[in-house]
Amino acid sequence: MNAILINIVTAAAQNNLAQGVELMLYGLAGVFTTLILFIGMIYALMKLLPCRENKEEDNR
Amino acid sequence: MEMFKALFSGVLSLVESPGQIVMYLIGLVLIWLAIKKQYEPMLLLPIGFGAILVNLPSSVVWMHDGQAGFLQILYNAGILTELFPILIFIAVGAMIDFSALLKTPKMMLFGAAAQFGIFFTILVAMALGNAFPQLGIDLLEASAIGIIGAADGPTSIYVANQFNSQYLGAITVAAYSYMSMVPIIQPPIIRALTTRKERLIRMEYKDRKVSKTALIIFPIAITLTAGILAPNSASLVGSLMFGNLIRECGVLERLSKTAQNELSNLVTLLLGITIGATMRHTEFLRVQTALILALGLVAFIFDTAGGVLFAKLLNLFSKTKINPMIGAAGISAFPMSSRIVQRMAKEEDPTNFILMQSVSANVSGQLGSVIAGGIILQLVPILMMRG
Repeated sequence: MNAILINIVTAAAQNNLAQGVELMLYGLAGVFTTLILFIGMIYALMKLLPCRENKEEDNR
Repeated sequence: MEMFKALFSGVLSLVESPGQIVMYLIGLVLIWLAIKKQYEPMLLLPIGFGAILVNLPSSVVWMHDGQAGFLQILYNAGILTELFPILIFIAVGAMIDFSALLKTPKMMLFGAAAQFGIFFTILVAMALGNAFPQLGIDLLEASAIGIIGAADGPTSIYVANQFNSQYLGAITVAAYSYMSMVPIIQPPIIRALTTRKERLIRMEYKDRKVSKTALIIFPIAITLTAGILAPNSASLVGSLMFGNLIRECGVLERLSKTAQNELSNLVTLLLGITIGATMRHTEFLRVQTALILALGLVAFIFDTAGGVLFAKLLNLFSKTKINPMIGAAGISAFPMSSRIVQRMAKEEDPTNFILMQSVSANVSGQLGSVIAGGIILQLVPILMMRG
């Protein structure tokens, strides 16, 4: 009986930790993917909307 | 005798539950840190005072004659509805100048790498929850604790509240305390993970000009991208970017200044005292609180380590070397973190100037932490349903 209980608890613990690892992998992948998309978007913005020298007061 | 008891009910209550006295001491320490050490005074002082107020006998500021007291009214209106963190984000957005980031977009990678501490802490919290089931730390609580690593008070409050965390008070105190202690926490970790040679790396900075149109489109494009990729981050990213749009559009100067000053000050004032009011001795004085404070520190340490190590990893493959200290600025604590990195670079070589790259990484950290919060909000319910 004790062995069964230990097995159940161990399985639950492993499942919990597996969830944590999964969250870490998907989470970090999600953050990197989103920010890499932002980088692409910034490059596109800078390319499509370059700074015009004659409008210097508007630029930073 | 009854009259005597009624007259001195407050004193008797202190004798019956000395935890209240401990909370007065904690409140006083927070106020001391705010005034004497100037650690996030705008938040730690109201939090400290709120903690004292809510632990006064009978706690009338929370509940009085069966009716909600003024702090509970503020809590219900500002925290439960998530209004305060959202308003703070509008103010923060109006304060941030993203032009440095638009000039050096690659630095955004560090804003992602430095979120490592969040996920690592969730894992540690879950391992602790497994080892000690009596702590009651499940995936929801672990995620609420891990988000301290966002190094961003409003995101921590928002996520912890969405997960209905019983540790909201401790999480907020940890988030703001460690944010104020970034100048103490980060330098030893950066030094431990980098060599002097690495800290001396110079980085070229081309000061490109950014057009006003690009600065206006940037917040709109970010909101759309983040809102589509991580819909749960829409409230946080949306409010941050709304504040930034007000700043950059050039026609709402009055609103921009109001967001940066009046709105920010007013909400910070109410947010602090309301968070302090969640620190009732019956809920705060538990082993879990000490554990959360410790895990918060773990989160900040691994955020910093994640950023620095990622920069070192990039250096293995890149011809143009990056000063790995920049990675540490990828946490959201703005602008302290970028200032620390520049200060450390200057200590090694007074002519080394990496502030602009650090600022870019630092504002990316602001975006990265919000995105991380949104992604956690999105993934955790799915994992819970499956588990």
